[in-house]
Amino acid sequence: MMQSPLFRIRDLLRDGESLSAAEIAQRLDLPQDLVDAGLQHWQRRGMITRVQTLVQAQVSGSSCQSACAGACAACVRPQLPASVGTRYRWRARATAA
Amino acid sequence: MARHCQASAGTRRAEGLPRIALVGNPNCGKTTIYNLLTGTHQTVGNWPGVTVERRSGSARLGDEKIEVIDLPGIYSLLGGGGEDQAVARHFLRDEEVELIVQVLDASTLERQLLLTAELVELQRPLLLILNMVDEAEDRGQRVDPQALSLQLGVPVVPMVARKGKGLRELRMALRSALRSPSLPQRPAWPADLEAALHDFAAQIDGARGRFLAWQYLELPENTPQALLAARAAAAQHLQADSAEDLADLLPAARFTWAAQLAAQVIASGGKAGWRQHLTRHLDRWILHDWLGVPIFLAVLYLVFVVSFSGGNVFLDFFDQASAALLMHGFGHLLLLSGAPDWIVSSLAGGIGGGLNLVISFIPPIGLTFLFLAFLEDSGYMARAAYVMDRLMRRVGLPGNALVPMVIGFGCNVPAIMGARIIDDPRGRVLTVLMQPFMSCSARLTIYMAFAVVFFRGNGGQVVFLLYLTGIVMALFTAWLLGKTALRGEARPFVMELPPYRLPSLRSVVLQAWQRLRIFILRVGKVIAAIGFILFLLPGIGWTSQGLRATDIDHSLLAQGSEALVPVFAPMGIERDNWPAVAGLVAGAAAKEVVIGTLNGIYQRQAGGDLMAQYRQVDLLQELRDALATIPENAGKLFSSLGDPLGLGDLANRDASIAASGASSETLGSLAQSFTPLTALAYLLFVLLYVPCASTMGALRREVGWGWMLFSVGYGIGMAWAVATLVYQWGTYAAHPQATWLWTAGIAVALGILLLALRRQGRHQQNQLRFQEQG
Repeated sequence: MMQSPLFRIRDLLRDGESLSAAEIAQRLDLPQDLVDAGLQHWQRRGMITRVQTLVQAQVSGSSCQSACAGACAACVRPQLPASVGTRYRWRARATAA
Repeated sequence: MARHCQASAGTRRAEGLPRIALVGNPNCGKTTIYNLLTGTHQTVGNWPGVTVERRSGSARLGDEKIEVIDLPGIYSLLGGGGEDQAVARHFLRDEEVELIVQVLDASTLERQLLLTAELVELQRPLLLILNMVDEAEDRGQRVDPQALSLQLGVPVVPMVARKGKGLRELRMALRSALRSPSLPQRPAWPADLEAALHDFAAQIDGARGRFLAWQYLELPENTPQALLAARAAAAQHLQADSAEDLADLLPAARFTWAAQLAAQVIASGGKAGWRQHLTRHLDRWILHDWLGVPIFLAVLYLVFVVSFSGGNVFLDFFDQASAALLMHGFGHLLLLSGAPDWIVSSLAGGIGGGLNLVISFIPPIGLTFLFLAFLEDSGYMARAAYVMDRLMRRVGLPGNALVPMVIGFGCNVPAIMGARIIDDPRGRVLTVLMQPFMSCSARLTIYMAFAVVFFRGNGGQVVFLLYLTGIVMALFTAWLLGKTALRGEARPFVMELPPYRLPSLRSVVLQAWQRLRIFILRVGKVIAAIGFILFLLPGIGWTSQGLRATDIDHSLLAQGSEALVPVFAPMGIERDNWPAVAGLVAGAAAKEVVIGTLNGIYQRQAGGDLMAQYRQVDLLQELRDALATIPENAGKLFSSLGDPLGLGDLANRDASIAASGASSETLGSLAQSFTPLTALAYLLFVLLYVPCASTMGALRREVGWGWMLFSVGYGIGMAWAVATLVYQWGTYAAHPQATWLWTAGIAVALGILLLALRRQGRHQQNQLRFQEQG
């Protein structure tokens, strides 16, 4: 049976990385609106916190492992809307609880 | 089926009519469908949170009449969201309704189905509208309505409501669903969840047992005492093989179901269309961390500059043509009919003059409404809220506080009610207290009147500056209160961003017309009425022989206003300019009254001259002259580009009078009574002080008497302080000592206010602590 998208979002964030909604959607191959709903749930539960990035380039550059200089599909795809600047991080205290 | 009044719900049910309720996530198009069905023109917008109250209307399905309820957008029946979502939740759970119609945005189907999962558990007749199928296809997703209908066992109607596509099919489906309602099929939940729900629901009385079982398992705090043991048993059963909290486990089941169902009914694989590409490319700039806010300000600036400059081309035509018809022509007719002078002057000068003033401003105001409607429908305003989020959070507000602020540009009353979308009580109070500083359309009339006279070449920029000052003051107020009396942190929010849509011309024109119509009727009515009253009432004043009939300059109105002039003297109001004070006092009731009062007084002061104009009228020549102003003004359209803010004219009264081209007595009298600098100070006062009695009423209803009184006092204080500072520093060279004294006085007053607010904040926190300890 498939693992719930809600828990997949949690597990990804629990790994410690701070990620934008678009990055989560891309990594888990989920529609972004469902990721937004999942993030809303975890925010309401006090499990995640929002952080603002200072350098926008981090958003598009973080997940590309190739030497394509920004031209490949993997680099183009992360530049999704609404991901600019806003990232989510799992709260360690909440995890322990 | 029961058809009776739902007294407990607060609204009377339309007698005998079958009732359907439109429900769905925010910004999925419910109100557009409501308007299509009922033929009304309720405000719609391409952002979440436009509808904050439920509304009801009637619709015809062939020969059958039904009642349609439009509910605020909602994400969950179980909880969360602001008061607006609570309205929808209570209605769906507790009120009689023949058919629930869920509107789903087909382009974000997975998320929308989360609500479907809850509605299905209500086990009430359901029909789904798959709206915005064009946008889904543009994303490369083709949703199969038949497959969805088969899976859920309810009718599904595909639509593009914005364009009216699918309305016929919807009407047919509604008729059929009302005649033979079908209950939705329950999802196949995991076996342990199904068993736990089944057993627990069996312990709960009533038709909603199954739904309540969900609710109590997921949110235990509302479980009745009698059901605690049954809930504990169900919870134990569910958690036998899982370490997950039930508050996560149950929503997770809905997420799984929604994702699986969407995978079954969406045929993907198509290429993303132009809308997706456009959205992606535009959002890279519009949502940019650092460029987002400057772009928003630039857009707002352009709206006002283009509206004012474009409106200027036609302003003189509207002004002169309406003066020719409504004042001179009408007055002439009255004279010919043998009406006495006082009737002619009060009807043609008072009412006609007032209407002339309102009609003059139709071009710039109409253009402003057109641009704002375009921005709202295009999806830009939702992004404006997103980019303002960071700024908002700095002052302790959630980003969705911008949504009511945008509404406030139209009218402060719905803006204050719009704050209900904010679920955090502290954020809601802060947002409500910000709204009186947003420039509503009634204030726009005053800005336009002064801009035409004093800033004709750069009126758009001045109006933009006033709007901006209102926003800055609103943010400052939130920051000040957030750091003192209402301390706390803003709750984060995740906002859905709608795709960009090319608004349909019909929708934009219709929305702009709705606002303009309300503006003309409301403002026109007030200005004409005040003009008439001020013409009709004989001037009565204190004389050496007691209370006697006098001219208006020696009337009680003048004497009372003159007594108040010293209060406004620091902001440049002189004794002769007592009508300005009368306008401010009367304007506390409604902003339209400010210009209405000025119009009435000025028209009456110039009453003798007006009569001559009524005797000799060349209507055709006047209309020809009015028409000639259009090409002349069109040539001047770009003249303001060299001096973007037009501040060079601030001290020059003569230049502004000459440049204004003001033809009406009112505008001419304004030019004589103010300098550009005192006009700017006056406009700032008008912007910031008490908006109107209706806004105060809305404030009292939403946040109580205490905050309402604070808002009135704070607004007047801030208005006076800002207007005084602008005037004093604008004339610094003439009286440097006085300028420093007034500035120091204002700084001390602000310091005292700060201390008082901090003390209040501490007092409230202590009370809260005692309550928690108790």
